[in-house]
Formats: sequence, C-alpha cells, structure tokens
Amino acid sequence: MKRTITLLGSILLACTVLFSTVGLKNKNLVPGENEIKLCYSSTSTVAEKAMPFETSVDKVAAVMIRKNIYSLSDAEINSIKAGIAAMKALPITNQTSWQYQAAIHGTFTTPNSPAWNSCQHGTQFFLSWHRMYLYFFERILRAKSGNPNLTLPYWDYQTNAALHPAYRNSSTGNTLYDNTRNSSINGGGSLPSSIMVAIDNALNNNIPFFNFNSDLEGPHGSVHVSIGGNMGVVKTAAKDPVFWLHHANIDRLWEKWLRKCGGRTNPTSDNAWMNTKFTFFDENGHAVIMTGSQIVNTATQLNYRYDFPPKLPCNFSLDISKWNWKILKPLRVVNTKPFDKSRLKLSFAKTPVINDDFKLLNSQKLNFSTTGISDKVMIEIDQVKVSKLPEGTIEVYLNLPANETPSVKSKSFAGVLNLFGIGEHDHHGKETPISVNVSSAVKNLGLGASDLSKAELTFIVRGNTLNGKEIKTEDNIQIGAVNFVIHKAQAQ
Amino acid sequence: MCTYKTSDTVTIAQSQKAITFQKGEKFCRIPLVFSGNSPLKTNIKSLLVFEQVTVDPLPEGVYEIYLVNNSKNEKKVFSAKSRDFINVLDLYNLSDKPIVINISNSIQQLGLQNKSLSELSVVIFFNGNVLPDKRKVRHNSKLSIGRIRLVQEC
Repeated sequence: MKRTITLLGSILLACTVLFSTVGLKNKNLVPGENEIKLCYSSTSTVAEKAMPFETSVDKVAAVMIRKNIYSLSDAEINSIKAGIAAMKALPITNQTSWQYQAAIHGTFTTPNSPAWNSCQHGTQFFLSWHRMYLYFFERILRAKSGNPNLTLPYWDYQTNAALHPAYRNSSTGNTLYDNTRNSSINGGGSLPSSIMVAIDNALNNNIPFFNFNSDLEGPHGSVHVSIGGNMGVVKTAAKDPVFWLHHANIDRLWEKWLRKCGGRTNPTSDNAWMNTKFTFFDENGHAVIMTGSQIVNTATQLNYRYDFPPKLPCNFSLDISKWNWKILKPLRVVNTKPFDKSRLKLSFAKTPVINDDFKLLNSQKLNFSTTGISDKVMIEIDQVKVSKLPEGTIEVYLNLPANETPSVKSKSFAGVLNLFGIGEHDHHGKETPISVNVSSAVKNLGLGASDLSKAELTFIVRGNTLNGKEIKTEDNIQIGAVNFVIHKAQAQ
Repeated sequence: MCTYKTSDTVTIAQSQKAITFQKGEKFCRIPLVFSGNSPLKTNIKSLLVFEQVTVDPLPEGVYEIYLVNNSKNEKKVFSAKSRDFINVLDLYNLSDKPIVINISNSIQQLGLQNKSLSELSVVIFFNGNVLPDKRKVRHNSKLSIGRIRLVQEC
C-alpha cells in the first residue's frame, strides 16, 4: 500500500498536462508565461483505476434541497457535527477522512496522494470543479453522519453577513469551530459589505459564463481572506467547516445567475469545460472520474437543488442587442409615516401624482412573456433612512388582502428590500433608490397597467429564522417615497 | 481572475512607481499615467493588472478597488455602491502571477474619454470586517504592489 501511494505521488502531473489531452480552449487561462499554474490534478494511474461517474438519481425520490444555514434545525446541525466528527476520526490515509478531503483542495502535507492539490482557481473550471468537490464531500458527510437526508447548507452572506452561531461556539468538541479564524468573525462580526456589491455586480453584469466564472472569483476570495486563518489560504481553506458553507453559497450563486435568464447559460458547447476529467472519492473511498457535462443540471444529474422559490424555466434564447426598454414612471406616493409594529402600508390611490407618464398609463398593455423579452414592473423606493437595521429582511406585498397572513407563498408577495449597504457609509439615507422587481406579483394577481394607480404596497419586517422559528427583531426604518416604474420592452 | 496575456494586450495607462499601502492608512490613491501610444476604447475588454503584489499579514477585511477619473477628487470615504467601485482585490489566490480585474463595465459606466485619462487614478480603500458593535477592524497589513497597468485587448 505504501509503495502504491509513493508511486502515485511521484507521478503527479501538472493539470496543464491533463488539459492538453482534451484540447484546451480556455476562455480565461491562456497557456503561456502568464498562466496560473496552481493546481495539480490526478495521475493517469489513478484515472485508470477510477470509475466514471454515473448518475444514480432516483427518478421517484424527491430531489434533496440544500438550505440556508440559518433555517436549519438543531437536529440538522447536529447531524453535520456528527458527520464531521466521524470524518475527523479517520486517518489522513483514508480517502473519506476530513484531512484527505481537505487536501484534495490543497495541502502543505507531502508527499502528495491521489487527487490532492487539485483545486481550480483562476481557471475556467473554478465553478465546475468546486461543484464536483462539494457533491462528493456531501455524499461522504451524509454517510458518516448516519442521516440519509443530510445536505450541505449554504451561508448567504448577502442577507446575513455574520457567521452562524453554531460555527462560532468554542465549546470543546464543537466540530464546526475553527480557532484560526479572525477574531472579528468568531466574535460575531460581519463580512465587509463591498463583497456583497461585488457579487451583485458579477451576477448582473456578466452574461457569458466565463466572465461570470472569473468575476465571481474575486469576491469569493475576499470572503476567504476576511474569515482568515485556515480559510484565508488555498492550501488550508477546506480544513475549516466554513469552507463548505461558503462554497455551497458560491454554487448557489451560479444557480442564481442562471435563473436570471437573459441569455445566461452554461458553456455546454465548450469542449474543454464539458469533457476535462477530474478525480474525486465517493463515500466508499472509491475513485470516481467526473466531467463538466455531468454537473450541468444539479437536480437531474446530482439529485440536489437549492431552496429557491419555483420559477419558470428560461425556455428561450434572446439577442438582447435587438431590444431596448422604454421607461415610464407614472406613479409616485410620498410617505411620512413610520413603520407601525414592523409594518407599513402605502396606497397609490390616495396620492396620485399626475405627470406625462401617468397620462400614458391607461394605454399601456403589460406583456409578461415567457418566450421573449418581458416587460418589467418595478418599485423604486426613495429616501430610505435606517437608524436600526432589522435582523432579517423586509418583505414587500402588492395588494395584500386584509384577511390574509403575509407569506412568501402568497400571490401578493412581490420581493424583499435589499437594505445592504445602508448605514455603511451613509447614515442619513440611501443615495440611490432601492428597486424591487414586482412583475411576478403583478402577473400573478392579473393586474393591468391601469390597476397600478389603485395599488397598495405593504412592507413587513421579517426576522431571521432560528431553529425553525422567526426571531423577534427591532428596526427603525423610514421610507420617503415609492415610485412605480414600468420597463416596456421594445424591438429596435 | 480573467484572461490576461501580455502579447494580446496593449498598455493604455500605468502607475509610475511601486506602491506601498501601510498599516494604519485608510486608502491609497495611485495616479495612472496615460501612455499616449494607443487610444482608449470603450467597447473592448479592459483589464486592470496588479503586478508583484505582496501582503503581510492577510488583512482582516477587504481591499476595495475604485477607478476615479478626477485627480482633484478629494473624497476620503468610498462606497462600493458608487459607480467608481470596480471589485475587491482577491488575495486568496496570491502568487507571483499578477492579479487581473476585468474593468470593461466600469470603463463603459464611467464614460471615460481619452482626455480624461490624464486624471485617472486607482484608489485602494481598506474596508475591515464589521465587529458586533458596528466598529470596523482597522487596516493592520502592509500591501505592496510593484505596478498597476490598465490594458486593453489589441
């Protein structure tokens, strides 16, 4: 056994060699003097012994759901702790051990064992390799935990930038704790908000996949460094349990990007991305080869998805350059009232503001197409002042019936306010309006453009969920005015 | 972070001397000097290349990168919500290779013209982690950069 490991370790090949066998046509990494050669991939010997991955998704069983760490029950978190404890109890020579799995990402330990140091950073495989890595790690953790329903949770730092308390509890035996992290993070502090802006920029500005892949890597790396300790360095990052929370979120952001449609698709026509082989180990310690073509659809190929609300598929492909949008701002309501018991209701019927766009309102026909560019109805919230942010979010409802309990499952649910950045540099009010796309609610309620002049908006402060229950949260928020903004799609 | 190959790019502007961003300092403004050899185009891929980057120790927070096209701008507080914000500097993957940030969108948003390049600066702003009492961790690292170049595809 020892001889085998030594032999395998001695013939590790640089990943660029592996790439060359599949005809690399890299969008982000051009072989040559400036190529970033961080990674060392699996050996041909390992590849020969490894089995190709075969999807074993049970067509009858429900797709497993990866959830927000803040929505997990104590029992679910305890399962994760138990799985980590079982993995940590194994020696580094065991491919399913905590140390071996961490070393697949990176390690200072020598000599190399099969698949060690094979992480992909600064390459076109950043997102795809980490998806594969998480998939097999999740299978191992599930098996070790004894909980067949275990899935990896994610940390959505864009809605809660503080690390979950279970990962900060320094009690002896807490396998989620890592004392090498920066004290600000283990002490309950938050990540800098600019990381979240950079993530939004990557989600919104980049349509070709490889641009998104590389632009997301910057804020991803800053999360690592801001957490610090093991997480701050590639070769030790996966030793920290937070690594898996963080990368589950990166994987979720990839899905979020796809759900934005508008031509966002996976690069399935790119031969290198689809067919380059990477080696991992399953829950039985067997080497498995996986390619990009096998991880394109998480639900059908890997039997998991994230807890996004249902959405229509992007069943169309558009040439956006042939379209533009006519912007109408027909309605505005000014508000002087504060939130009352974490709730604020505004009616457009009471304070109409007549302008040229208002005169056009009744003649507008809203087109919410699923096969072409769709119109959008937005609300723009002006002069938002916050002296105390809620520990949660603010939900927006359109025409919420008086007798209906507000719920995100309601037809009236329109979205949430992004309060991120408020109070960061500007304590007196947000410079730019907060926009919320309320098109889904307008469509679900069957409203026409003229109905908007009678519309009511309800804002509700919703505390984060802890152990399945909503926490009570205090807030002090003021909204100065709200505009309805209609984006009419027009062919050029 | 993205494609960068010397032979495929042309340098539009660059810093003139090595940069040291000392601990305790909040931000660092680096003027870029226009080479004059090639015009700036707004419709092609533009990159900001940070060469010979070292940091010690790793910061407890992030370095935010801004592209500011007015040397007389005396702003001392920067917001990632502003148009000037480009991205955060990715120090996770630090090696002897340059750090490259795609600024194509920023070039378009800022509406940079050739004439304004003479007033172009890169600002590096340290934004520390936020402590539970809302105070921010101070800058306690030393960031060194050999050179910053604004390059475009040929």
